Amino acid sequence: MNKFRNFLSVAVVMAGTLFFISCDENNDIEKELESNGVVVVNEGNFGAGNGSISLYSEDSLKIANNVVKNANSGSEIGSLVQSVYAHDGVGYIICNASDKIEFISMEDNDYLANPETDVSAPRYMTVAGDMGYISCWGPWGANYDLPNSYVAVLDLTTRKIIDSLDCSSGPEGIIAVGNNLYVANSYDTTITIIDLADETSSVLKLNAAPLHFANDGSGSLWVTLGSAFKHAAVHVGLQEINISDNSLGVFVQVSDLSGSGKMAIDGSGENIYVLTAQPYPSTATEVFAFNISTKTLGNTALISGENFYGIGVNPDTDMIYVGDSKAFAGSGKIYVYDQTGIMVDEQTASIAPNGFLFN
Amino acid sequence: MKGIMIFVFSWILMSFLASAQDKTVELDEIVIEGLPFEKFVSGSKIIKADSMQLAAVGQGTLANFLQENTTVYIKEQGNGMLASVSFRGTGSSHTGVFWHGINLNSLTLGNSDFNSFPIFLFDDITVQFGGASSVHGSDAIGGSIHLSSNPRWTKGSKIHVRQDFGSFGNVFSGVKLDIGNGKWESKTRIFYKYLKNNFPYSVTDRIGDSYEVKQDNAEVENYGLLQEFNRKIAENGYLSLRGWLGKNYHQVQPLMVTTPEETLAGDEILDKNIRLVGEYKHFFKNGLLQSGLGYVWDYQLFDATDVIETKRMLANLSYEWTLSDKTILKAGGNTKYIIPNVWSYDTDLTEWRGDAFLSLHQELIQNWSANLNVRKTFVPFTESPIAPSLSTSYTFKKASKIHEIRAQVERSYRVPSFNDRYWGDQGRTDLKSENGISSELGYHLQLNTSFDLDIATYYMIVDDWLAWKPAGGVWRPYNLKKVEASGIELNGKWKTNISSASLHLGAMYAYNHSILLEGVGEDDPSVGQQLPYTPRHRFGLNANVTYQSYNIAINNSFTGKRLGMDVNDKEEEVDRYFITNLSISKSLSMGKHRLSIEGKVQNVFDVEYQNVKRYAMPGRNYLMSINFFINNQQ
Repeated sequence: MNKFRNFLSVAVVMAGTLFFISCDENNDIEKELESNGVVVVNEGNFGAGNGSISLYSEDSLKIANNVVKNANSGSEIGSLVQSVYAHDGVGYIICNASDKIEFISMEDNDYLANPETDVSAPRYMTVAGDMGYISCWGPWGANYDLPNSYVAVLDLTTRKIIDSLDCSSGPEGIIAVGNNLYVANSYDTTITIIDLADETSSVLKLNAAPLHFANDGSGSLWVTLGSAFKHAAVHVGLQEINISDNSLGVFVQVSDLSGSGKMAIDGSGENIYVLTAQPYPSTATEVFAFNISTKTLGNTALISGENFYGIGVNPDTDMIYVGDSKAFAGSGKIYVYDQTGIMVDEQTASIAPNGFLFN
Repeated sequence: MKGIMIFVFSWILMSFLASAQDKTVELDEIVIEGLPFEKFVSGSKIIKADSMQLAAVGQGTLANFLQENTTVYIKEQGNGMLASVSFRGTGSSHTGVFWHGINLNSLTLGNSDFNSFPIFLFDDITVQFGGASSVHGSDAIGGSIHLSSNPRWTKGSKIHVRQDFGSFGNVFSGVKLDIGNGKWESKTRIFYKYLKNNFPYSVTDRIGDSYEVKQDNAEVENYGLLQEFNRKIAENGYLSLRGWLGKNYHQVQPLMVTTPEETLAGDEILDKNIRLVGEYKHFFKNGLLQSGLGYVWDYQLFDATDVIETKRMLANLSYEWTLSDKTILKAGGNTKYIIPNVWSYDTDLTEWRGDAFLSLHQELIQNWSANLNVRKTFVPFTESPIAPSLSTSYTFKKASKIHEIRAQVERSYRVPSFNDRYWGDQGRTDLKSENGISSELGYHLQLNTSFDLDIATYYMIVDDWLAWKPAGGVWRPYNLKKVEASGIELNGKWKTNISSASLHLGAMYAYNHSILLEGVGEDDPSVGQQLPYTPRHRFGLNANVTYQSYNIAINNSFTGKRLGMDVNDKEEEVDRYFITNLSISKSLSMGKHRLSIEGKVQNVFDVEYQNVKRYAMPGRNYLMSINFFINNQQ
């Protein structure tokens, strides 16, 4: 009996120690990552409120999940974390289903203020001057169309929405170049270009649904054009827009472009990596590289797998990041590849990693 | 001759029951005429709600009834919100909910909100555990529930008026009116229910402080009317016409807030249903003919803009032969014509489907019987399996003990829903039906009439389980998952009298082991784990004491830990909870009439719990009920 008791106390002490060790280790990773980590956006399940943020280090090949929740007494972020934008040490977490924007310090992940909740179905954010611009779908209309979409204007100093700008239906990607704000109206086939100086706007017409932007730094803006279940495959792909006069440049067909139209551009502006999905009944997802100078798409996929959901490129190292949603059935994964498509690391993130942010 | 005998027997039984009802003051179980399929499923575990349980649920819904009186798990996404069911570790689409033979599951979604079925409307609830597609057709994989009200051939009139007031702005008004002369009968059930649902709950904020907020956007407002006419025709037939109108509005309770300043945009759902059934039963010398016609209109309006609507017309016909005193054979079929109105479906989409079935009950030797049932559903494009079941039961009496051993093997199936097959560009008509194979073994002991014990064990494989997967960037349904479920269920009841008080005790326990064998992909991280929101353990303890005109009822139910949507994330687990409800009532007899006043405390110990992660549930709350029974002592 005594022996058993001794064994029990030893076991309890050991278990306790292990617990502390593991806690400490986790804290260490988080501390290390806070300064130089890659932000992984985990969207979460629909209606479950389990969106979260992970931090990953390319140097130590380590990941810490739930970092924002852990830094804030377990207080959760919200439902469907669509994207994160960082500016001047502040992280803007866009919660699509919770209709809010959370503000965190990029240094220690602490919440900086109460969330701004004066947004409806926010999607993505960009910054120009002292203002943030957030594409918002607005409430659903009949038959799940989006008649009341808009761009919310966020005062970065007061952290309040101060204005809204008009756009067309389902604004997704949003990017500011010079004085112009480009808004991809994904439930339409147009891009709204808003002159931020006088808030006048013009409309750029396309043949398919614009989704996301990438600025190559050499005068061209690239936008993915998706099928949205209705546009012909010949119009699905990458469209170049000449920033100087907002005229259309080349169009390169990417007929298997994924429904989300997600893409990422490398640090030097040489390659764009687009997420694609093989047509039904295949369930495979892929990454194709598009060479900007030759304006050609790779003949074969650079990376292949299942359930690819998010993509990013670290501008400093040109490492390619892919988020694997695991079909939302459990913790997703992130994969890190070099430019030749060779995997260098694989880590378990949280539910549905949908995007990355590099500081 | 036999048909007439059965008819006469049931007539005598019903008259006896009716007269018994007139005389007894104490609430007690009332045995009712069996459902048409019952004699063919003697291998199944079946629980029937007794009148005491139904009265205790009062203004509650089928979700409340199952939560309090069975080991079935109800996943409720907030208080009074969408409630889905899990029988024996299966999913919400794997349960058939039937009202006089009509499967009430939404044709578009393939499942039901168990908070949309108010108990007040029904006289009888029968819960059948395990697969039963061979008798009921599609959906009955994990279990099936039968809501009904059978003719009771009222003579004269009976009225029951109920009025409730409760916490969080709860009001319920209901009337039941039965009139008849023994040859014809009219039964009316009508109610109105409102629940503001602004209960307080506590939240820990980002600096670790707790504060209380009031639940917002969770209002519930329901109306219901059920009208039934029964008419005896000639000596050996009767006609029943039933109409059920329902209007259920509820706001969609949002996730718990994370800061007090946060306001969450609220959705709202309005459901309207019209369900009509006409049924004719004719008792022949050696047989029973049943035929029915029905019409069902399901209409749902989401956020006042999006309509999901289906209309269906139904017809069924069956004949039951009593071939000898040992053999009963039944054959029949039904057909449905369905017209959906859903924006994402093809506008001219309609569907015919039909079922054909055969059932055989054979007494092998005295007290030992076997049943064979076969059923098949015919659906355009979709292959659905032929579902057979074979079951047997053996009963033996020893002194005052009645032992029953039962066993069953069966195949069950679920036809993919309209959404699975026809949703925009994503639905797939080449999907297979979900396919379940299960076996069960049960033992039932009845001691005198005071003690009752039931043990059931089961093993089930559900294959081709449908899952929507974002494959290729587009969400589509696939026959992907395979689930293995096994478990044991114990139910015990004990009835006794202590001096002049009568005491009813009930205990139940269920253990369920539901494992994902194949997931949505080769590397699905939840393979090998218990399914999310499927508790391993559930138990309940109930006590009911009647002393003179007083009645005290205590209902306890325990729901074990559930894994969250991410089964590998410990932080997503949802804690177990133990909820106690207490009610005290006093009955005042006034000649042929009776008045009953009831006070109820729900969640007596003010347990803070969540059924679904991040959806608040109410703490201790109160309900006051007044029931007035005119010409009706029950």
